[in-house]
Amino acid sequence: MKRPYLKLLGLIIVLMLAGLVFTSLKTRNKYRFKKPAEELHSELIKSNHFLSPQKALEIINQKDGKYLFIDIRNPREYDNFHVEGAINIPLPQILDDQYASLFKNDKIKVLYSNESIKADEAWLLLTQYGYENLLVLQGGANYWKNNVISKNVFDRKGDYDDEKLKFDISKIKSAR
Amino acid sequence: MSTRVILTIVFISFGLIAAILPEKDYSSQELDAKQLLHEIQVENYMISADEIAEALINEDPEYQLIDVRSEEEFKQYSLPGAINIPFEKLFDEESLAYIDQIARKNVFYSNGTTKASEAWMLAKQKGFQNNYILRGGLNNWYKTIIEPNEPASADDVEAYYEYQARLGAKQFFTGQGAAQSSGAKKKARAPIKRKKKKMVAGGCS
Repeated sequence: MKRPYLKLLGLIIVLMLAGLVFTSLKTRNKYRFKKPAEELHSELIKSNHFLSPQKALEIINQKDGKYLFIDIRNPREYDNFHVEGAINIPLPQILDDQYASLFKNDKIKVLYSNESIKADEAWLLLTQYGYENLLVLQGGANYWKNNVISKNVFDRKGDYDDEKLKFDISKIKSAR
Repeated sequence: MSTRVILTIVFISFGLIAAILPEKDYSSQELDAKQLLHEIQVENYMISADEIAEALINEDPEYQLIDVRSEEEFKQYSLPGAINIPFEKLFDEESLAYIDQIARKNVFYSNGTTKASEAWMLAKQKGFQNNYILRGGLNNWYKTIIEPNEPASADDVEAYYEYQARLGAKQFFTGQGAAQSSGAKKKARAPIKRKKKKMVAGGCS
């Protein structure tokens, strides 16, 4: 009775091999970053990935099909108000497989959140992950709703820029 | 087939499997995109202006403020005790000694939140620990600490105490502000709790 025993052993070995190859493929993390931090850092120093509300309005008025606006807020906020023509990809789902092909297409994707901080974080995340052609709308949905849509004036001294200093330094200094 | 042959086959297959297995990444601190996405949703890395004000007043050595703006901006105005690591120099060798350590909590700040958060994202991608962001940056610092708004309702006790603390902080950071609100005049310094050295009980002190 040597034969069946051998066959069984062979089968076990094959199964073990298959299992190990399978797990090894699984541990190859598909979410690892494709762009090293140092590379992204020097890109951030060299180039600007922000889109001003003025430029965004031009794009929307011209119905420029090269651009796609992506609202990363939750569906409730999106339903409540969104930039004309924007689609909704809530931040928690942004890495989901169903959006991979969308992020890989040639369009220039303009991300926005309520302001621009979350959208900028999403921009960094997606860029680290290897996606390209991404921009961030300055001022986000709040600025868009309060200034661009309702007042139709959008260049209030560039206040949509989160990094603009919005107080008078001399006031603090003289107070000391 | 002899058992020896079978054993040989088994060992060779294990060897092959070991060769196929992906190299283990020992820089295991480095996050992946999914983990970083989780971090930016949970937002544990944002520190409020009030918290920082309190830490500065108490001379809390746990925090190290890091101004990520340009040298020029830093010279014009910066928070007390802050050091300057311009964004461009984030990954310089001298900078790494500060941002890649586990002893203190670094709090990045800029004019708004954006620049600080970009620095944080890059540091996080590298897996560096202990980095935080001053929420709203200097603009929000000014709005909450230097020019705090009086709470609309006097009934909101929590807002009242928060406002009192802010007036105290304002006085601390600017040397003025006590005379602003009628009720606040006397109390303005009250919320500032300087840590007293605790006496050791007993012993030969």
